[in-house]
Amino acid sequence: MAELGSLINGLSLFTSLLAVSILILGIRRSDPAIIEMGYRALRAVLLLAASASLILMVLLAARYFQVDYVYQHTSRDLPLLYTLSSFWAGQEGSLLLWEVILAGLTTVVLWRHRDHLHLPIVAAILGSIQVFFTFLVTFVSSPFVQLPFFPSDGRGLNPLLQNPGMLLHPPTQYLGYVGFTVPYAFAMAALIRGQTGPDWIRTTRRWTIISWLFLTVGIVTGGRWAYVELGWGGYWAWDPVENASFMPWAVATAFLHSVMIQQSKGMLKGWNVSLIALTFLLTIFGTFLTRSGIVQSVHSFDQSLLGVYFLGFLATIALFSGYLIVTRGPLLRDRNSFEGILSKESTFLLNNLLFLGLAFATFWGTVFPILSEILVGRKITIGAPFFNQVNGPIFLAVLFLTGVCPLVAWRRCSIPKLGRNLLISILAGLLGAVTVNALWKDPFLSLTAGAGSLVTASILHELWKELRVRRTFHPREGALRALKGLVLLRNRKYGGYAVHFGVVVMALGIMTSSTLKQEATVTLTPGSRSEFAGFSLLFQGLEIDREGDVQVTKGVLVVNRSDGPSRGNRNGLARLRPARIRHPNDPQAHSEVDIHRFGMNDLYAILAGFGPAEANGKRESFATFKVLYQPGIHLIWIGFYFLLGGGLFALLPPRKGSRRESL
Amino acid sequence: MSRRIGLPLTAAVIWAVVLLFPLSPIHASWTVVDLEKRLMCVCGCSMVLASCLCSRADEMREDLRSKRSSGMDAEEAIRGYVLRYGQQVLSSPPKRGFNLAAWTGPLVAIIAGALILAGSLKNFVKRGRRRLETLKEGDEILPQLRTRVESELKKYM
Repeated sequence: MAELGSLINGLSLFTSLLAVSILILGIRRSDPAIIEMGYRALRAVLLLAASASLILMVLLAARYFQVDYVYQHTSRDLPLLYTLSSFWAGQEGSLLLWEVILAGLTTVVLWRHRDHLHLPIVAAILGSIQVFFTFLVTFVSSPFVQLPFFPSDGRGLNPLLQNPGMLLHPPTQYLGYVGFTVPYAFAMAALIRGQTGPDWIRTTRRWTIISWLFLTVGIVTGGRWAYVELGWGGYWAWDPVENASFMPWAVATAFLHSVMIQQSKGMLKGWNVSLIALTFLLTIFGTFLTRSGIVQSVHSFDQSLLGVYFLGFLATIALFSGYLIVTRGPLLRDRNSFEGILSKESTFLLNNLLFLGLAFATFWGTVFPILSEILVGRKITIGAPFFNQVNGPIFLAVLFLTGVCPLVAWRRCSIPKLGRNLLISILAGLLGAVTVNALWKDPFLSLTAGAGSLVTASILHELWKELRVRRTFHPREGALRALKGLVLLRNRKYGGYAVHFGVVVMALGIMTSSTLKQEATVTLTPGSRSEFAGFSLLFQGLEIDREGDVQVTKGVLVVNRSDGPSRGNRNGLARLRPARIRHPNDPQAHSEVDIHRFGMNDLYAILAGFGPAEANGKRESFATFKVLYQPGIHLIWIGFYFLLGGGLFALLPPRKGSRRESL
Repeated sequence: MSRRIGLPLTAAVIWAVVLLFPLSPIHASWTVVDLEKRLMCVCGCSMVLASCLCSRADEMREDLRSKRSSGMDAEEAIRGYVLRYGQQVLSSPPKRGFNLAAWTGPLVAIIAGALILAGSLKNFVKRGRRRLETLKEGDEILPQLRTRVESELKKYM
């Protein structure tokens, strides 16, 4: 069966090469029949890639350990769901996932945009990218390589990957990455044909938003997984893998804003094409970064051949996109103009500057250790404190701008008028900042609260203004009906505002959980207590379970309020059972955290160590716990739901009859 | 100095001060948790010491505890680690020498971007004004604008 998988991969590569060749021939001859043949070949690639994926799934489910990939990532005792999710646990499987997603999206493009003028070129570009990934899966990193013997059991899935988050996080992340290939292909096709108007942007608007949403979901679910599984109490560590996903996200966010100027004024054509090309380049760069080994050490570059292929592909894409952008320069020149320095258009440009600044600062911090080693021969580390200090002020500026932008008029706005528009929002911002400062006396938290209040007040102000105008047209309409009508009619705008509000809530969650966080390391013997963050922690003892070959040691903590009535030692307010798990095939013990939610806050416990100790002449067990109290952390996940809901709402097609109703 | 240049320049100076300001200063009565955030675990996991739970991390914490109880200054404790493991043991590079390029790179890029943005905006606006100047009174712009406003009101309200 593994041979069949390899054969199908080979066929898939051949078919995608054939598809691209046929499409190029068809485009050159302007022959619709040949082009149609190319489309069919691309559809066949999906069939082949899906078959190869199915074969890998079957091999995983059957635990066919002679296949190296199955041996490396599964074992007999692994639950079926995780066995199937190990499809993307390793490099080979994740590249196959990339290939099948790309083939799927290409087929959707062929179906949805079948009458689009640029489709043949778009299909040829998507097919060429498909060739690259299919080549990798066939010749460089195949999941169907077989071992010369049949092992009795596999090495098992990395325990950290045995978490429900891993079922969602990688596929959504890949859908986000691969999704940006579609707007990129349309942009390049528009350049090739010399039709640089907003048509490609209109066509790919949904693709861009959907890809952005998937990438956002991937990033947030990854953060959530890190929080509940990795056992260090955080959700974002600014490590190179996280940065690799953040960079394209930041540039895509800039793109989502700047396309509005091209749509409304026909300007920034070259800029938008460059932004989408950069987004796509960064998705490939991120993959190169994480698969080449370059971020750990410059010397490990040669050790991974895959990195060389990605670097070559990256250079090809950069040259191809750069060549098209430069040679089509005259067509990309803006003929329209801005009417005032202060306008909504200029705030969008400022937004672009800040998001690109975020992407650049992240890029710079990620690659600087490599530069340092090459240029001065000194290894340095750039960790979270650097990124927090550099990116923190930019994030704050983005948040302030999010509050100001909705109230700045299109075309031109005077400072006094902006001042009048912003007065209420500024007052709300000041009130928010002063209140939070009075309560918690933290300048960064106060600034975030101020910016958050400013954004919320601006959204409400804008909504109120538009409702007032609507009610002059529909005087008999009730307030709620008017609100519903307006929001449904302008779902793009209000969906966007819901996204902004979600970002505010997330920012507050990030700031409260990082600035007001309390943490301590306590070592306790059974029956002893420790006071922490207003809680009394009673250590009841260790529980040792054996699940097959896996040894699980749990430390039982009973939690009560320090000043409140105790509910008894047995149950308390909560019982936390953080654990250390030792797998037979892994020398390093893993931590299984336990979290108890108190409203928006979490009490988070990690079993850092345990053992027997001599105390008062007798031998008894002890346990060392790392405990964290994370105020407001649930705001992050709640904000994310707002963001997701807003994004999906903005994607809804305009309601039928809504325009008539508005009239 | 004109207001247009003054404002971004002030913002840039404030940001530069924030960037080049030392990371949250450590009090004389430092705790292990304070230093755990400044140091990387040396087991090769690429994690900040505060986040790592491996046995090497435990040894480092124990070492920090003993340094603290012996009354050692926080900076001295950090210096000891740098001497032993090199600068890569620090979770972020010290703000001096070549490392300054790491801290100031984003700032320089954003200032350059802001200058380009300001120049482009100025050009866009100039072009718009020239266009308005070429329009004579009574040209079709007002009726066009009126029609557009009416259609937008109907469409969106």
